Amino acid sequence: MAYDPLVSMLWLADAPSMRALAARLDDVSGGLAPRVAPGLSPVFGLDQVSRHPELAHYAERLRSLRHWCEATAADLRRRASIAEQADAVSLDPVEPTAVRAALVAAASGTADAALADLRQLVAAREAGFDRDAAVAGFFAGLPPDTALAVALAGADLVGPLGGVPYGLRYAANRLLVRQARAEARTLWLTDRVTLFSRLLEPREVRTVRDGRVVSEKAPRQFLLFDASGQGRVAEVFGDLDTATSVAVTVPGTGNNLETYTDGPGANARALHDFAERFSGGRSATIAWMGCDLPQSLTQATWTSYAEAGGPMLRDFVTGLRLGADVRTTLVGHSYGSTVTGHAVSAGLRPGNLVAVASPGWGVYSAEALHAPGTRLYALRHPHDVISVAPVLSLASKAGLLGLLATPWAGHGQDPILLGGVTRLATGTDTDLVQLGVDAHAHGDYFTTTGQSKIATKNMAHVVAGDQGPMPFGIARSEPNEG
Amino acid sequence: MKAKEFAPLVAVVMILSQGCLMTENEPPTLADGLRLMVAAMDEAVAVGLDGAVPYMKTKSPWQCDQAQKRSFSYSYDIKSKDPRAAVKAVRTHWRSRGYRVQEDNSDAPAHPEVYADVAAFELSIVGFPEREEVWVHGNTVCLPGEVPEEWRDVR
Repeated sequence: MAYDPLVSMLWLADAPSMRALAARLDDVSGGLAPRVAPGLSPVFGLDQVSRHPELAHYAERLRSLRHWCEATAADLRRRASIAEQADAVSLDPVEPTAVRAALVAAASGTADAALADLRQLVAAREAGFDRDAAVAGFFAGLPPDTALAVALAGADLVGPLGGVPYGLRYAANRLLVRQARAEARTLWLTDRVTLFSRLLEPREVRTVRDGRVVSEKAPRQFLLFDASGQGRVAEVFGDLDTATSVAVTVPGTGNNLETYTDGPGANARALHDFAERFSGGRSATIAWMGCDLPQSLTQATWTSYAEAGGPMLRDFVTGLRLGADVRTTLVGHSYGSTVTGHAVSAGLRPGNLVAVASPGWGVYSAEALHAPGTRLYALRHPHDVISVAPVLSLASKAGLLGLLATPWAGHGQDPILLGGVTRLATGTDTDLVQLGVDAHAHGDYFTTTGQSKIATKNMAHVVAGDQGPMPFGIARSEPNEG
Repeated sequence: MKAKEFAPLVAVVMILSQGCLMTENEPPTLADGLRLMVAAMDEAVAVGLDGAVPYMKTKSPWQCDQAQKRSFSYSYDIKSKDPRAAVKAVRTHWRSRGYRVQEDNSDAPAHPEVYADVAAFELSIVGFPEREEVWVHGNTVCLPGEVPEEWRDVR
């Protein structure tokens, strides 16, 4: 790598100095290429060059200098935003100490050469298994401290990248959350500051170690984070490196980054709490919200969100490079189940596919999923309002809805009615009324009224594989003294 | 149809509706629900596990998506020489208290388990014979009211 005096001096520079230097470079760049009022730069402006043909040979050099100024200013800001977090993480009791040193290294440019190699590697390959393997090989060849510095220097690339070791992705995504919070603070967006601060709060997570349950506060483990638009996030509960059973949960309509912590995140943690114990400490649960989800009931009738999200979920899970012996389970709630169905249709092959209060997997028969090795489960309260959705899909398919029927609406048959699907108990198996359109019941597998334990524990048995879950309708409630 | 022919029907409807109103109780507050749930869990440990002391007690938020309401869960992890017997003893106790046993899977080969509920909370007990442990778990349903002081820092 060519000697770069700027890089060599930056390791001493603090974030405010770097930002000040970037601002000065912006001024110079603006002078070189005035956009609003060309006449304001009589000395350096390119317009002066164009007016004086004898200066034409300077034009290209000035353009290059302008580009250098812009690129360097952007790079300085990137380094400054990393350097700012080096001090912040030193105050965080759960952040590993190596992270601060790696942040200083990343800000000073130590990892730049390796990061450039990684960018080149990623750009040269199509997303998929081969690229994931190449990325994994790349990081395996780096010393641990360099690998961490690369992950932090290129957090926006490394955070969501398949094939990267989990710990590096966690560190990269935590940095992205910190940077988003810092930016929100600068803009006085107090709601966003609160939102991002909650994402950084350590979570108390239970694990089973040496035959005993232990509870520990650990840094958050994100495999995705993007604050733009609805927001994208994927959080891991448990130790993904050692897990022998892994669940990926996908939430339904109305969820976004703002609902994540108390909604999909809390639900996944509750499921993990059960699965972790059932598996004896060998399970991990991932709350995945890596695609846009419908935000209204009208949008929830469209297939477009699932058609876009299914392949994204497939690529995400493939990028984890889980071992062939790891038991994998996809759990989708409501529209999230439609996303999981499309992921399977797109080629993902989990060991178990669980539909919770599903409007459909996007198919009218289990065979249409083309996943004969996947065990299929479904949960639905008899009186759940979602039972209406597949009826409308079928009516639409049969042409009974007239002009209301569209090819981009409807999600197929109700999974509980598909052949080859095991319906699981939900705690309402013996209710007197087995029909209805109860909107509250639609969330009573994870949220809404808090009455969800039977559903949660049944999903956890599927995830852990310790014993069969209780099928619907045979839960024993009669005295059975033993 | 004359008005007096409606009278018996109106009377029946009134009696039934009043009956419904009379049986509708005020929902317990979150504080009451938590107090009753913890008491039920302590009772289960005292009765089914001979008063064994949980080596870990953990409080967690539990899922609730209703305005002005909250719910929490509580866990006891307890060492037990005979988890299968403990699960059955607790099941018997819960039945004797009139709790609704939602699922009795106490003969499960790997992890015997029983799930029960009452109006304000759900309870479960799961045995782990392989590591000689029992897990007693309780969660309130969504309940209104102030979060009690000792639950305020639960996240």
